[in-house]
Amino acid sequence: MIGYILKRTLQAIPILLGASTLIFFLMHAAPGDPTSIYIRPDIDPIVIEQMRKNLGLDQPVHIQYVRWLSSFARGDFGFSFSQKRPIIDIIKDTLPNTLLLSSVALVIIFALGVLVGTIQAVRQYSWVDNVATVGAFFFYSMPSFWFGLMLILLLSYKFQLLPASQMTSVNFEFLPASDQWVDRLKHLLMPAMALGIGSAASVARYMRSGMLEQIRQDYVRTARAKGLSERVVIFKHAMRNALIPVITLLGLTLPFLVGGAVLIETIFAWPGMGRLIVTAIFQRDYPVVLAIAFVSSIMVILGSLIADILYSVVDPRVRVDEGEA
Amino acid sequence: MHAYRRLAGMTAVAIALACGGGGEAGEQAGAEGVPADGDMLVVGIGSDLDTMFPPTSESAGSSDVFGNVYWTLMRSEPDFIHFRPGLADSFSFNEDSLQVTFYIHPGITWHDGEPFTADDVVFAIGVCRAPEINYSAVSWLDHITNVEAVDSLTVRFTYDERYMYQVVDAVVCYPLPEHILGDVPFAEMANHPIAREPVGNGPFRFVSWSAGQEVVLEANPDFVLGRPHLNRITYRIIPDATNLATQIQNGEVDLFPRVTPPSLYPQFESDPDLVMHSYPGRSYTYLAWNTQDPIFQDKRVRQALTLASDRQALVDALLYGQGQVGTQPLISTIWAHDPTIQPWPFDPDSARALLEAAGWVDTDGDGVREKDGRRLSFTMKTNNDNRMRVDIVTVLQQQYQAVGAEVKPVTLEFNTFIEQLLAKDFQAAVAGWVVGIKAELAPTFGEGESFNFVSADDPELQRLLPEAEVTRDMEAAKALWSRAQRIIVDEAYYTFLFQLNDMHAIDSRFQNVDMNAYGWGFNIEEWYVPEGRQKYNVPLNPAPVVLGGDR
Repeated sequence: MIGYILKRTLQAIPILLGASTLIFFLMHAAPGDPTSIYIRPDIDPIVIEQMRKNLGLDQPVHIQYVRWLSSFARGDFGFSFSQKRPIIDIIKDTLPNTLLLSSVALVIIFALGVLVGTIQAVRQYSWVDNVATVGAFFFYSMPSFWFGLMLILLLSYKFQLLPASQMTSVNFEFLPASDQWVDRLKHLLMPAMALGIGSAASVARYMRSGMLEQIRQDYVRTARAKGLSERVVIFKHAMRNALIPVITLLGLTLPFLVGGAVLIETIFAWPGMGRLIVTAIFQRDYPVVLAIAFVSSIMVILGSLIADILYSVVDPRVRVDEGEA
Repeated sequence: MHAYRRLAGMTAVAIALACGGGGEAGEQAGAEGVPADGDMLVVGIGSDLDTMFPPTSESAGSSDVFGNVYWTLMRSEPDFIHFRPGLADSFSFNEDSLQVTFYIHPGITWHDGEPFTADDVVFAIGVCRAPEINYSAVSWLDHITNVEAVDSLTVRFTYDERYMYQVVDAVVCYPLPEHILGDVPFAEMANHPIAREPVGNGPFRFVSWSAGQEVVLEANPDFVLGRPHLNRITYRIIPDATNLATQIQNGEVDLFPRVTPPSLYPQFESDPDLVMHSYPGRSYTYLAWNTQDPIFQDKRVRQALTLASDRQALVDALLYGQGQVGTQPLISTIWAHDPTIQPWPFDPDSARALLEAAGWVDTDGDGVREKDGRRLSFTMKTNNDNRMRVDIVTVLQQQYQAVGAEVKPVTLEFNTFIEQLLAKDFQAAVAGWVVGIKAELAPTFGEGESFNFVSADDPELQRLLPEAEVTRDMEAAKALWSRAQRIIVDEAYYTFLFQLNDMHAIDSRFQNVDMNAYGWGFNIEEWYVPEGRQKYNVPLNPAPVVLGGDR
């Protein structure tokens, strides 16, 4: 297993380098640069030239690339042009927020998806199955940002049940410790639901079809014939095999969560990496875009690796250390 | 009312001062209830601050915040040529007006308890001038030849010539704490802890900044010019306008500054819990004509299409009435604005006649005029992230169709749009300018200037622009600016569409709120909530600010 992880890590290096290089040159090919925001009649062009010089933007692109790569290789992500502080500090601020949101969304996706899909399979063609099927298609086809806005209008504006944005309330520091947890949870609920509900619907569909396939298998019939309770048959025997396609989804969902968080973080004013990269792209803050792209690429590779390892956990036929995943 | 508000405003114009001129302080809005200390203002802002170190900040949103933590020597009145006291009580010119001396109010301290002195002013000018700092307004310091601390409470600026903006230029750079930054190399100042945990000298002190989330300030109880009434200001960063609109209506946010889109105005105005403030803002939207394009070389075409533009309809439909039809580039917030310049009327019949006189006739009956085999058909570009400008293009497309001109809308990503404008790669373009404090037209209409993308080249205009900028007598300068603007309007380099109002929505419990062209926080230290209406119970921290430490 460790050998397999090491091998995958080594394979990731050229992928990360290639992705970062591509993004570097694509960003520089786009019109404008970080000083574009200073292009105004009341700012002397000489001042802008001085800024470009100070930021190293007066150098040819290939020189800028070599400089960036050498500092990047030494673990120095550089300095944000727009936030005027080290990028490592920015990532330290935003990455935990995105991971928190994504993790809760992930729990919603799989807990809800697996539960609903299993119930649908067990109660195939019942009214529960039909309602859940319609619901799944409804949520799956709904854009997350629109669902987010609807949640805000309904739960925040209309019924005033949940806060519309941010991670905490304005008077957070004056709340007792127990209430602070509740406050954080209340702020997390809507963005996590908006981010996860579409994928949960998708997981439910996969789970339903996987489970339907499994409960018709001979080993399930044998388990029932042995007199095992239906609960044990479903949850201990059938579900384990039905989860295999869902785990494939897990690997694919991790990068989606980072991407999907771009809109959700903006709508819910969640200070994460998704919102950060959008702002950085518009401000042509090259070092920030590159650093976030790098972190996102790592998350994609990590997601894929986790999915491969989980395969071996649920399906003993798969041996990752033999490279058969 | 605080003591400093009782002092009359002071003009920054040397000539006016020599004649004993002066102005009135900003007008106070009506208020109800008895002024009381306490409560918190929650402001919803669209984007995070770039920094709280004034010399390196380039965001208006950031200066809205750190402008309450740091104060300048004098503070501008809404007309930007008169001043009210700030850290200094007053200033005076010497006999030849080549020196301006500021008299600092005694007893002012930095938020860490150290005294604020004239040396901090001298130090800050040195910081703002350092090339490593990239201070965007550094050219404003060009005429200042020397800054000296006469004593701890007196600072004197010396200039190489007399000109209209001597005081404006002297107070543009925020004083900085020399006792903290004195030993820090210029290149490291932007990354110094003070850039994110400011130790200022103003009415509010820094409490916290959670990146992307919120910035919190609290009243400075030791502010010798008077403690602000509000205990706290919390700036919540909420990028989505729909969410922010929801939050101000359900009471999570108290102030929505610079309300956009304007369609929210009627919605907020009908809300009994909100008070709307709307006044002419410091930006205008225009339609630029590329005079090097074969179609628009003839000024009659530019004039005709200006006559065909129903700009009042744009103001009514797109701005919900919250704006004025544009007349000239020096808009109403600037002293050189000429109110006698009338806007081009909406007159489609005259537009048609002018186009025909210019040789543009619809010979084939397809609804579009032609001349010498060329159709009166052109592209109109704008940036796609500004919904209002995209709507303007659509409305103008309809209006120009009525006079036989065909518009092909092109929407572009902002940086691409700017690049194409500067490269003069356009025929017509809808864009806008935010107008500064000073009357300046050379950058946008001066021959050879990079922002003169319409290629304005009228000889008289080119002579007037530099002359107006160096004329010290205000009335003489006004006459020159007026003449220059009349040429610009007559040449129709731009069709001046409108000047959008600045609109702010605030919870009705806040009293004594005076918002004007200076900004929504013009007198924020004087806002209060009467005791019976206070919403938040947030105590003040009595300890002074400690840089990089817990209080």
